[in-house]
Amino acid sequence: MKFTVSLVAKSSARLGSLSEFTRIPEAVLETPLLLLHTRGAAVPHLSYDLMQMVSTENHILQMPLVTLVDHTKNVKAFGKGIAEFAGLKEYLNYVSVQDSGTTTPEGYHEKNSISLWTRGGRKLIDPQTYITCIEALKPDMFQAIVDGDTTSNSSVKRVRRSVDDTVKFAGICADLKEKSEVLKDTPMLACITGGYNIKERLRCITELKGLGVAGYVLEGFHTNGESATNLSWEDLEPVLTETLGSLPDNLPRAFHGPVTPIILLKLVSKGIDIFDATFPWLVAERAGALIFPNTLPKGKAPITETLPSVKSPALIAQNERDGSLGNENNKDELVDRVFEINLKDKLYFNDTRPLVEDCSCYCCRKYSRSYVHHLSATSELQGPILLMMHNLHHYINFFRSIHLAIREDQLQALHSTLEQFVTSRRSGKLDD
Amino acid sequence: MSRHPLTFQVLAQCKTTKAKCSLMTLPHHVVETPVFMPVGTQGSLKGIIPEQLEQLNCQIMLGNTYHLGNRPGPDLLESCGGLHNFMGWPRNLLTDSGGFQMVSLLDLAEITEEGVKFKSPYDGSECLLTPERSIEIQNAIGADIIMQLDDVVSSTVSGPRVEEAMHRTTRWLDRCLKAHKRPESQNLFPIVQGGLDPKLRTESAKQLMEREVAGFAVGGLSNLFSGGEGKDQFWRMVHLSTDLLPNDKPRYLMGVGFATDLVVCCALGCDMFDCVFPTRTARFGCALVDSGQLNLKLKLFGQDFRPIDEKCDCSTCRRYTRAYLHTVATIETVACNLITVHNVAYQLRLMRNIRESIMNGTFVEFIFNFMDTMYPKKDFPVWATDALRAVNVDLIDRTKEQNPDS
Repeated sequence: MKFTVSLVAKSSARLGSLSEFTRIPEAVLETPLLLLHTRGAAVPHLSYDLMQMVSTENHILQMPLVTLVDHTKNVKAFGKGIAEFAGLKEYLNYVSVQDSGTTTPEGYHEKNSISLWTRGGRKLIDPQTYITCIEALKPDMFQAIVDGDTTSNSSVKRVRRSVDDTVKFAGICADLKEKSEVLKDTPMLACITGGYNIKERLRCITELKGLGVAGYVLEGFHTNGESATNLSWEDLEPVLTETLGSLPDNLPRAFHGPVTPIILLKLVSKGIDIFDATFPWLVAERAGALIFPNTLPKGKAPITETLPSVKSPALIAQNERDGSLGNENNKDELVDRVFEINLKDKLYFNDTRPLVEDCSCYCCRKYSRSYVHHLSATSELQGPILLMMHNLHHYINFFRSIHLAIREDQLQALHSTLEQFVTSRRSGKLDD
Repeated sequence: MSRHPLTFQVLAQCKTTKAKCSLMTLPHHVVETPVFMPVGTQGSLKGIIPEQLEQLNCQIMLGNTYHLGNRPGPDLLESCGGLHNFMGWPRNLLTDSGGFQMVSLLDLAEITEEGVKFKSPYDGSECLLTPERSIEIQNAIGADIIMQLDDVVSSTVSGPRVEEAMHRTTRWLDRCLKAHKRPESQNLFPIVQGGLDPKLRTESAKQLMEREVAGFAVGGLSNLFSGGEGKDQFWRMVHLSTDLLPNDKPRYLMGVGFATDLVVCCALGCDMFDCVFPTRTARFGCALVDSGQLNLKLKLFGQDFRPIDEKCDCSTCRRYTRAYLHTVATIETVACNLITVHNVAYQLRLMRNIRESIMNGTFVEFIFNFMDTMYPKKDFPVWATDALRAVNVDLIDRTKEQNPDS
């Protein structure tokens, strides 16, 4: 695999590309890159045919091992790798460790291994077993096994231990990879951990020097799922600056997790190259459709509808304004829904407009909010399917805008557009 | 010239059985019969999009009035031009009356001459579904074929109640016909009742045939369907009903069924079928094949790298293996989409094969091949053997003169 930086903006944002993957040599993927998150080697709710209706471009699928580890034996027997096993060999794939869209339980540390929480329960995986799994899956790229179990509240002891383990694991992975016929030419991303402790972050980088890696994943800032959406930029920024400042410029940096679009833009400005599509997925799971402005404003401001307000403080209860009866997801999780509309809301019962005016996705060209509301209210499977198609489409276009913005030095304008949107939504009047 | 928005042209008649292959034209699309109609209860076929159904050449599907009448409700459907527009399905729809669902889903449904009285599952208030109201909702939904509200009686019931229901069904048909506001774009089908009493069935068919309608349904039999003694009575009533009903109008056997049922009931002269089974079983991870079902959740499929059916050309079988489906069946919703597509493809292909064999005069041979594949141990269900014998097909003694179609 080759990573080329073609442009660096005045901030530290970079425009680049990943190419020369052995299995699909003609694929060139522009960075900042949106990995398509999967579970069980499938984009949630979307079969190959439906994926093709969203996008016919090249994509890299992010395949968390935690959703595959129960079946690696069968994939090994298949012999041709997970992409073909899952009917998706046209796509490149990257095996990561945890599912960045689902919160990983904290704790449960054992010597020399990490915990993977599968459907069957907790599985302990050591680096040797991990590499065996990766060999069975034959991905086009993979993440080194990592202890990323730290948050802004973690003790120094926990942070230190996560760095010690991560470095040790990385060494073992690199070593085993070298010796593996299957994996020796497969690019591996090493993980930088260290929580919010700058000293530990720098130590991690120092101790990983010399390891032949294809890039880096910045782990340890959250424990996946909603914890990534609730990141505090204030806490994150100084650590990120120091960390990225010590990493080589010529290797890609990945940040996993369902960060908000605004945090994503900030991460782009700092020089992060690879993200995943867990945020659009989580929004679809709660019957949300992304409606935030995902393009640079062209000329005069377009007429936008007055959306229902999503007040400050930034978080509102999930089932507030929920039009449905009995919701299976009864945990009172606080989520910020400022970037989306909630299709379960009775407000949309007879709204004949598409999810987003002028959106060219399959759902917006064909269906009304009213229909999507009906599907959401009746828990029909087609609801999440349509929402996922829309949300992915919206996010893929968002990334196109990011590329354009970097090229034309308009990243700040894109950022402002989003900030203004959020502000007006927090203080906005209710829709009629 | 038909007075109804439906034409029905018999293309070929089997010379041995009562099967026939026909072309039915409805406002939204043609329908080749015999036809199987997948069920999209609440305005969508669970887990698949209309384009996938079109690709499978599905020409007509079902919606349930009871569910749609509650959510989103007839007013909304009317305001957006009907269910076709709402769900983006450009081909045909058929809606049932809502009566059957009520009686089977709700406690304390009470039937009076006025209609079906029940307690709303949402707020417990007392509601009444009358023939007029059912037609009103179905008019708003806008399906190409709509069903009368019938007085449905469980076939386990016998005695005067059955006769009462049979007569009431006729009276309710007349009320439905009167209340029907869109006869130029929607075809109202009556439903033959009469339980398991040949005399009552005959009387029911006779009465309904006195009305000017575009087609007929045979009802009150689908709960006999899950095997056992009931199946013997089931086929006899179907056979009797099709003998009574005219050949030049479609005959819709409601709630049927599994592959064997479809083959046999085509031989008995039915043209239209519906059943939730293929779509429901898909959601449980079961894929339909000529020998029955594959429960893809079973570990034995973990390293089976064949498609569900090597002879199937659906989008699922062209790309996905049993082994992969095993990993995701009932776990990831994508499995529901993939297996549903296959199961619908299976049902529709079965019907296509039935039609082709009728057209070619080889339907009897088709029946033999089908039954041999489905029951390799030759343990044919007794009811099927009996039913086929009634239409001159002897599964056991194939040397008998079957009078093969020329």
